[in-house]
Amino acid sequence: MAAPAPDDFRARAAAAAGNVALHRKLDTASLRFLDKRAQVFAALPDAEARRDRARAVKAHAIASLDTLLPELEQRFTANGGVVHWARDGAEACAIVRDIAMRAGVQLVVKGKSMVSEEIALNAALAAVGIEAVETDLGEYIVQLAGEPPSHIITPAIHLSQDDVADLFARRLGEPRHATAEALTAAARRILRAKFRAAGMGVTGVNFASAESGTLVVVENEGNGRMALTLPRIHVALMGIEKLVARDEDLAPMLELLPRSATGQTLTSYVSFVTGPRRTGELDGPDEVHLVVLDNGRTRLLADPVMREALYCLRCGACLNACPVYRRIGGHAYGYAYSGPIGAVIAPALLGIERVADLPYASTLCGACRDVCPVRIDIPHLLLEWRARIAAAVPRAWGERLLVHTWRRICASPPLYHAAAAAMRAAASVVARVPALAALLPPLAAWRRGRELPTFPARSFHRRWREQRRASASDDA
Amino acid sequence: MTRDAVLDAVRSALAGVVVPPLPHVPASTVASDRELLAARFAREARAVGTVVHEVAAPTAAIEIVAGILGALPAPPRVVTWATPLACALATAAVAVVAGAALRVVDDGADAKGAVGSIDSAAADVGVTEADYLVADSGTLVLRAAGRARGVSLLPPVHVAIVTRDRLRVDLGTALADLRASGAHDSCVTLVTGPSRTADIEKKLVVGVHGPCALHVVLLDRAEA
Repeated sequence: MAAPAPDDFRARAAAAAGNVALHRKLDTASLRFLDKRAQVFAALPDAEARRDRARAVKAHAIASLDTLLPELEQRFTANGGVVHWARDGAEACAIVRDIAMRAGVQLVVKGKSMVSEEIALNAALAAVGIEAVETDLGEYIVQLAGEPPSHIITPAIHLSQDDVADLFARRLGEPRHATAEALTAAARRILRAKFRAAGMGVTGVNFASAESGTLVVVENEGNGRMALTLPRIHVALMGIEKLVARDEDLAPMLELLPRSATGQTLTSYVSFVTGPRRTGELDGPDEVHLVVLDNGRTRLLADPVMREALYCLRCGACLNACPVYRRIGGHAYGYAYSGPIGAVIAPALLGIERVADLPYASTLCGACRDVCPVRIDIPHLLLEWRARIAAAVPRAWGERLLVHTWRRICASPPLYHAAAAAMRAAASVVARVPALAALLPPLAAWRRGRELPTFPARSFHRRWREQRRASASDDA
Repeated sequence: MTRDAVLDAVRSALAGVVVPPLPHVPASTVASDRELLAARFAREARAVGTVVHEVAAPTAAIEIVAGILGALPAPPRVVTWATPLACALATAAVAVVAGAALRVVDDGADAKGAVGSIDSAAADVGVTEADYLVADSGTLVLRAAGRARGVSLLPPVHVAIVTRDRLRVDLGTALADLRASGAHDSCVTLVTGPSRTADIEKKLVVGVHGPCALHVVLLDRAEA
């Protein structure tokens, strides 16, 4: 289940932009998330101060990774766990594969892990004949469909209930036209057997405390608990950025993540894992492995402007808030991390030359920054990527002249008013004789997929002046 | 060494970076009056679908648990933690429900998939005892020491017994108290409501992989 190449962003975005059914599904889910998020934040005392504190916790941790990572390793190892280090996805996959093969594991159950999507773990395990089953309902659905997830929190956001019912009928022989309840019950029944048979459970990590070597796994369904409780071996995959310094930092982060992600006060389940089953405990894994992954994150870390992208909690709120995401969906981005934050981190993790279109997939409206629980200034980071791309690629003289002229016009009010009047006149002519647009190639390109707006007869400035004058004479 | 390569990359990325100070995490200023906390816990827990039973004495708790067992479609197979309160209540309740069967999970049989009389995976009801309750979010805090985690996870119905003195105002307070108690479990679990999903068209469905129903029996005091 390889993700599509990120390089074809324009073609995928254009296709999705015309898919009205997709827009409806994305709007339904995203807007409901945003609405619930707004409600729980309104009910949270000192919400803004809590966001500041969460940002400070992450800022401290990211700047201290050089000391916190060895501290986590030392504590986790002292608790009986095993820590592995991976420079890239291939190394991380090889580590998990080798643990599984050494133990003779044939079936792996997976909790939801975006890192495992990032490194394409399932394909690596399948290559050596090990079956990896996704157990989060949304992940299970997209795995059955042979697709990557299209949202950080709701992987199957792009599929309707009917889509899922058809899929379950085709792949699992379930009755057609099943309800969400019946589909969930089918998944519970099928996956319960997998949990009991699996030799290894793989999960992600939402937070890790260096102080005590505690890994925190946040979820709603109970599949994460199953994966880290029932199989003999638990492997947790973690990007280096998941650390916080102290145990007391965990509660403030847990107060914000579910509220931002799904509008819940807290998710149904949160597991604090410190290692394998201890004497006196009656179940739990015999082995717990932690795979610590770089995979390009140190490039973000070394970048003073982009570093704050590592504060991201992967709550998905910026996806829900983004008008561009809600029109093109996660698959268009071609990467495990989509939406505004995906457009910021993909260039660092994959290389800017591969995803040079992503930083432009934004209107820079700022909605992502407003909902980010740790206040990452995503529009600023997107602009920074654009500036770097622009600086790296020599622009055509025509484009340079255009931008230069634009800057001169915008810096001078008389020029601006004159240019606006000329534009309005030209637009009204083009509106009456559409064939004229074809004569100007840039305008023709712009008009593909766009409607030329009808300009009002009087400009805003003129109406403003007239209204001020009218109200002044009323007062007099 | 891959380890050194990763750590070297981290060190060189952070060369010259000034570490900003850690923020002060303020303790909750909310008064921890038991009545208020119990009311808040009940409200938050009910909001996420937990059934909260507030009872004055253990005798009433037995009736409540027996009522939960008796309301199930077939005589239930019950597993319980061996902790004194959970075990005593489950035993007394099972005794008054015709056909109900009980297993006290006090060894590692569950983990190996081998089964005594009843395995958690085959049981209808799991009875546990919460170490703390978080009033702010309607959350149970469950330790692992001496217990089987599967009891609160595998059966379709989870009944947790807890006395009011375990109520804490917020998560930070509960976790701080847990650390101060010297607990060193391989896993501590927070449970807030039944297992749930909204992965299909944002429709809320309870009972995905974990319990479909969560009951909390909140006791005034453990002694009659």
